[in-house]
Amino acid sequence: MNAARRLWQAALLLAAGVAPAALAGQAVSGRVVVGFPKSSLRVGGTRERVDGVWAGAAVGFHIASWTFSASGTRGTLSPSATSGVLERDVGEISAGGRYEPRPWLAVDGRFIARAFSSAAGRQRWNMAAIGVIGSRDLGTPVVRASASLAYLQVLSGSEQALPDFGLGSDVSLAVAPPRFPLAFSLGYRVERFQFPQSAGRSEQFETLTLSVGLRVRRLDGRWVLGGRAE
Amino acid sequence: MRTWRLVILLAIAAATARAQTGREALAAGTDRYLLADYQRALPLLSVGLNPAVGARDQNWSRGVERLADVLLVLRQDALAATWLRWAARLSPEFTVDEDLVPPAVVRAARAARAFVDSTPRDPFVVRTEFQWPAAFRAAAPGIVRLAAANIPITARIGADQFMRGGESRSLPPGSYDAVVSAPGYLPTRLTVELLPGVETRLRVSLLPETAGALYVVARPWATLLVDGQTVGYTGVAGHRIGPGSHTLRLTRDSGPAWDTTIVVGERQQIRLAWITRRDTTGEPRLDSTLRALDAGEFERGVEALRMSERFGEHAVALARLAEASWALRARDSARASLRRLVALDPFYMPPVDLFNPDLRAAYDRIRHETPVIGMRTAPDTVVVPDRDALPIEIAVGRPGDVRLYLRLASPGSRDSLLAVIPVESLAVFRLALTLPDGSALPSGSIGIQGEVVFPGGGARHGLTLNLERLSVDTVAHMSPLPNTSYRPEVTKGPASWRTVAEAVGLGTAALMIPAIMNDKGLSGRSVPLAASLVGVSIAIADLSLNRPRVTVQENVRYNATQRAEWQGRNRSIAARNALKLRGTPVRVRARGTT
Repeated sequence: MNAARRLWQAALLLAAGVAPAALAGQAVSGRVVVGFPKSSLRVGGTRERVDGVWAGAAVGFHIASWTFSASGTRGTLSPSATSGVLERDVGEISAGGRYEPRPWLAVDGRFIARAFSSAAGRQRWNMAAIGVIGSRDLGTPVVRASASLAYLQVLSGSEQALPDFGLGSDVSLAVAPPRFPLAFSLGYRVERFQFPQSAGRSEQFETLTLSVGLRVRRLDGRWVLGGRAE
Repeated sequence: MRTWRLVILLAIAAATARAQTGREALAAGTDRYLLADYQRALPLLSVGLNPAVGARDQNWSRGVERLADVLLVLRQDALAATWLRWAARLSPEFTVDEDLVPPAVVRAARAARAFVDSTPRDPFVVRTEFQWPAAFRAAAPGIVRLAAANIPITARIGADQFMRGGESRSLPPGSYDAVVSAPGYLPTRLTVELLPGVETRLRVSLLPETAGALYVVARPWATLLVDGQTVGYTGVAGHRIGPGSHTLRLTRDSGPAWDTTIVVGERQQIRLAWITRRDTTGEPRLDSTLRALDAGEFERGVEALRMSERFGEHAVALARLAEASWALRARDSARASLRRLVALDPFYMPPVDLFNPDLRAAYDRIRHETPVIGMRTAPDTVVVPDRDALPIEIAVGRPGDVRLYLRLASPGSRDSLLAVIPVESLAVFRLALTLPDGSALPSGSIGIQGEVVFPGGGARHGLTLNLERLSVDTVAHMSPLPNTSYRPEVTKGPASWRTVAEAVGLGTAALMIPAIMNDKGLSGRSVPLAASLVGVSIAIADLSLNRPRVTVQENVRYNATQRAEWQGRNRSIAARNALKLRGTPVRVRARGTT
């Protein structure tokens, strides 16, 4: 009880210290995400591929050069043909922060929990990801392209054999029309996991994502709609 | 040694002056002065200032100021002060030309006038005559002689010189206090200036101890004669008069003289007043004091005015104080009051019936010396800008060029010079209520600043005018044209090879990054379709957005024509509005500022 109270007081003090300095540059964004995930797995000589659709939402809070975000998606993956592979549900939640030292460069740290569930059982990986993101305007600030590379460390999982590490990459194209509250993005993400040699296993997860977002910015002491969604 | 050298030089110079006397010597001295030959100018000017050989005119005054200048140059400051005091006492109109003489002479002349004003003498009791030497001797003492009288009079000169009637004393040049008395008679006090080599004769007619005092007030002012002898201009205060019957006559420039006979008792004070017009200020206490002055109660009136806190706010009260002080022979106090009067209200013109010619001359002189400016206009008036101009009256003390500035009340506005007007005393400037471009002045407050600058000082005064347009019906300006009325002035041109290369490169990079990460064995494709989709999208977006912009000259001309037509229509409306504004009556409320 005392620990909870101290935590709450610390949070209040932190908010009181940060808020005055950050009032001018803050923004809040929300996105609806629709994705087409695909998971590929090879164990020994056996290979299985499942793909499907997932949907979810993401929220972000932007203060000066910092962005804190969280997202959650859920969907179903099915085998592409009658291969004996079971249909499974997939879900992912992530939370993290991003720091932009330069307008074209950002560093991202994130916690990701991804789970697959089928009639055969349940698999869950808890991962930490750290990466760098480069971005560039395509002739106008309205359209921006970005690419990232990330290192993934699986922290824990429900399986005996966990990957040593993973590498991820993300490329995206974002459009935020001026005087229009919505922003759109198209992205592709791929993650490849490296298992110990003895496991004889390799795995890759990729997804094509479409998102529509809404962003509210603090401008001249007022909250206004518009701007690029994170 | 230096003094002896000066004495020898002056003695030599004096020898050359012997041949010239009177105004010839004054003219010769002026010539030497203008040639800066001060050693020779000194004896000639001294000889030429003999008041018995010519009128005390402007040449005589210029001679005094040149002699003072010479003496100051020769470090004979005390002697210069004595000459200036002698001239100021001899001639009430004496003044130096402050625009011409050096500042040291101006200061000495002012000090001399103040000294003489503070040591007045009764001209009916004491008369002075001067015996001028044929040749000027610098080292000669001054001589004072008390003329013999039919009563046993004695005089004390300075602190320790006593003499009887018919006797004389030789004393160093300078100013001396003297008291002349006789048993059974009122003593008289006077100050006398002794000049080097000049014999000053004092003819004293003491009044018996039983003499009364006569106070006369007249408005319009007049000249007072008692028993046929001219006393001077009214007001007259404390004029001693022997007991018995006397005939009084008041003469004026126009109209018949007024005669009366009075019988004066022993030590009686008689106050006579001929007042045709009285002054009022609206303040009961001040008006009561002015009535006392009108009744000839000079001392009480002056005291009451000085005790009154608010008399300094009324020009008429200051004028009456000056007039009463002048009558009491407190000339320095009178001049101080006149200076305050000029500073308080540069527009004040003394009524012709109030100030006698001596006082009027003093007022004019002080006004002419005082750097002050005032501006005024009607407090509430209505003018039509394109037909009328607002008359602004300007008054200055010392004549000069008045610079008038216009200050708009809008923030950041700067003064603009309206006019430079040479003003001798009073002038009227007609202010057009339009801007330099001919448009009407906007409603609101504007400032008019008047400034007159002299070497070493100046004065300024301002008027604040509040302009209120009474009614106006103008046409509203046209609203701006909507953006849809304009054609796009730039368009995308064909993509250059460089643009294509950049777009393809960027798209390929976006595609290759995940492709490298991809495991073909797992995904079944060396390049995932989704990665291709994003990469191609980036390439297409970059290519389309980075195409060079080309100006469409036809559209530029079209838009320029549209804008010009819109501005032309608005200019026409603005011109019609300006005409209406200039023809619209404007109410102007004015208030003065410092």
